[in-house]
Amino acid sequence: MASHSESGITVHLDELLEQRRMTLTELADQVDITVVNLSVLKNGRARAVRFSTLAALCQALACHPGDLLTYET
Amino acid sequence: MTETSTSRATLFMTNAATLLLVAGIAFGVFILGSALDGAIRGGHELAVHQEVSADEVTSLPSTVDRPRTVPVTVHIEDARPNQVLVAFGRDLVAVTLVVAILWQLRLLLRSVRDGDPFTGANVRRLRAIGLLLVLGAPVAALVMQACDQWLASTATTGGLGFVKLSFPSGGPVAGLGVFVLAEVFAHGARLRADVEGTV
Repeated sequence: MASHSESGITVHLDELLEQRRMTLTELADQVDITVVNLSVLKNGRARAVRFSTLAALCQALACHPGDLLTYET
Repeated sequence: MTETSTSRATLFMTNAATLLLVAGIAFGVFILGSALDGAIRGGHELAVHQEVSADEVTSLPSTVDRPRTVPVTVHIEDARPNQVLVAFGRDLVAVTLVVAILWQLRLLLRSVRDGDPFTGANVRRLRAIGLLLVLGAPVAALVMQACDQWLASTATTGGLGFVKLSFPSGGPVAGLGVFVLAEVFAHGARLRADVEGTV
């Protein structure tokens, strides 16, 4: 299920992980980001995302930034 | 706190500090100009501050002015109850102010010790200290001066002329500095919040 933050940005990490049949821990190992930080992102509690993090996630999930993040009013 | 109200507070502090700086520079320029004027034209009066023993005060040359005020100590023996109450009340005012400031400082230092100083709570503590200095210190000083004058007037006869109340400026200036520090901490707290939520 996608998580919606106060800023209006929706993170679709859960959906992408399910589609790729990947766990959060496996993704954390691939992108060299802690599970805690990935949980912060997954649950919509992140205030900012570094480009390096976004690029690493897109590479690991074989997706585009628009697949991972969407903006909804 | 919203971004808009925080920016207004910072702007106010910046303008107040700028005003004081300009006033200080202007006064310095005035002093320099007066000194140069006196050096060039002559006839300028100078005051050199020295210290002499009280025994020599009455025998000073005519070109040396006696001090306008001399510190004295009025001893009250066998004080009446109201005198005792006023004396202790006077001391209590000073102690209360110091304790209030120290209390906030202690809580602030504990957060530093715990490795988490840039919080909204510390911003509020610093603003409280600033308020205590800007408002509390002058009020406390005036109250204490008034108490001292009343105590001395009740203990002396013969028309001793005690110095009138004076307004202490050290507290407000220090309080302004603490308010500036509070705004720095507020900015640090915002930066910390941003960093914490960054992945």
